Amino acid sequence: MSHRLLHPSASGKRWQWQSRVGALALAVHPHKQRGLGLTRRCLVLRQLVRILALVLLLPMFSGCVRPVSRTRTIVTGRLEPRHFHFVTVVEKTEEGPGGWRAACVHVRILRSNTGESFDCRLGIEVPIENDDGPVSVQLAQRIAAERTNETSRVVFESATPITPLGLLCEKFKNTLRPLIEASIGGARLMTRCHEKAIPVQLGEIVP
Amino acid sequence: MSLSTEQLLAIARTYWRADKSYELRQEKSPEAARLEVRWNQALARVDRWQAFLRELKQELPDFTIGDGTATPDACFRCVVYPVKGRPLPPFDWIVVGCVSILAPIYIVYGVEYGRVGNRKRLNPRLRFEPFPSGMRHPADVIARKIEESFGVSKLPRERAETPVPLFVQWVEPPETTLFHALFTNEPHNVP
Repeated sequence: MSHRLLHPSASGKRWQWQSRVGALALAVHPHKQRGLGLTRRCLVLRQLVRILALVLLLPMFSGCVRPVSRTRTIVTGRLEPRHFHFVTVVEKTEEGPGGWRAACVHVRILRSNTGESFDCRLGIEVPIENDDGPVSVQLAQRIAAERTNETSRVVFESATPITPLGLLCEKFKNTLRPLIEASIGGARLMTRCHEKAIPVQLGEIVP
Repeated sequence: MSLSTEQLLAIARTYWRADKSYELRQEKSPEAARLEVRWNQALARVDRWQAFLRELKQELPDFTIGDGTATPDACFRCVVYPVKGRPLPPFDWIVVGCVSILAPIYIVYGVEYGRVGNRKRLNPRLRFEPFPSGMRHPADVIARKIEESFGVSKLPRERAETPVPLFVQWVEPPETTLFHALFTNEPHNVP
């Protein structure tokens, strides 16, 4: 199944995080708008400066220089709770807080104009029970998906077309970590996935 | 036989790297692979740890005993909460016992938390010996039971705080110490 499900954007650079059956990807669509420079008024002023060399006119240029290009970033799509496939790592046999589960999601970040991609690996690990009571798999999945989606908006909307994808992944994880830990007492976001956690990549379980 | 600080440093270097070169790579580092092997060996004998937790419960009936063991760390952790109930009522401190899976050593530490309204576990503050009066009794019981059950030695705080130039999960030099590498890299984060 093709993972490039993204459509050219007419509204400028666009991040799309698509989540369909069997596909999960994040892509950047850089879109250059026409170049902008000095306005006609500014050009006249510049000419005046050249001819008359009047330094006093220079402050009149303020506000003439506009961005050469303008971009904006839109994040669409969602990671679903079912993408977080938790497995038990440490059994819980006693009453009270304890036990340990791990999940691993490989989010593919794709820059559509160059084809450059990066697998951003999220290892999320949670206790089976904490001070609030049992942390069901469903609860862990829902919270993991919610926090991940919130973070994706914050981080990817601030990205530029030249942001290295690996750096973007690191920023994503650094932002997500405190949110996950604050949402489920005892939970952790890992620098690597646990070996027993089955990686879910692009909607498929990778053996 | 107690291990020297140099020997403990050598052990730490076996399981954690001095760089982040593998962080963005597909394959795991040799150090991470070795730590996984150690965890698999340790968890194969988890029944010993569970028996210890049951005994600790009997020794501290007025406390809740939790199992804070998490494989991102390098130790089995028992957590003593000064409250009982399910869910647990709000609490301001905990005492934790850690038995390393990498060396025959253990440590006991405490964490004090702040609380504002419904927001709990704020501003965690780590405590080591000498403990405040409330923590002292559970800390003494944990230490005695660990020594009886596992025959391991307490690592003094001064040695535990020896800096190590290693990357231990999210903890990076110069912050990293033997405590992070041989016990836990998120001491305040318990279930």
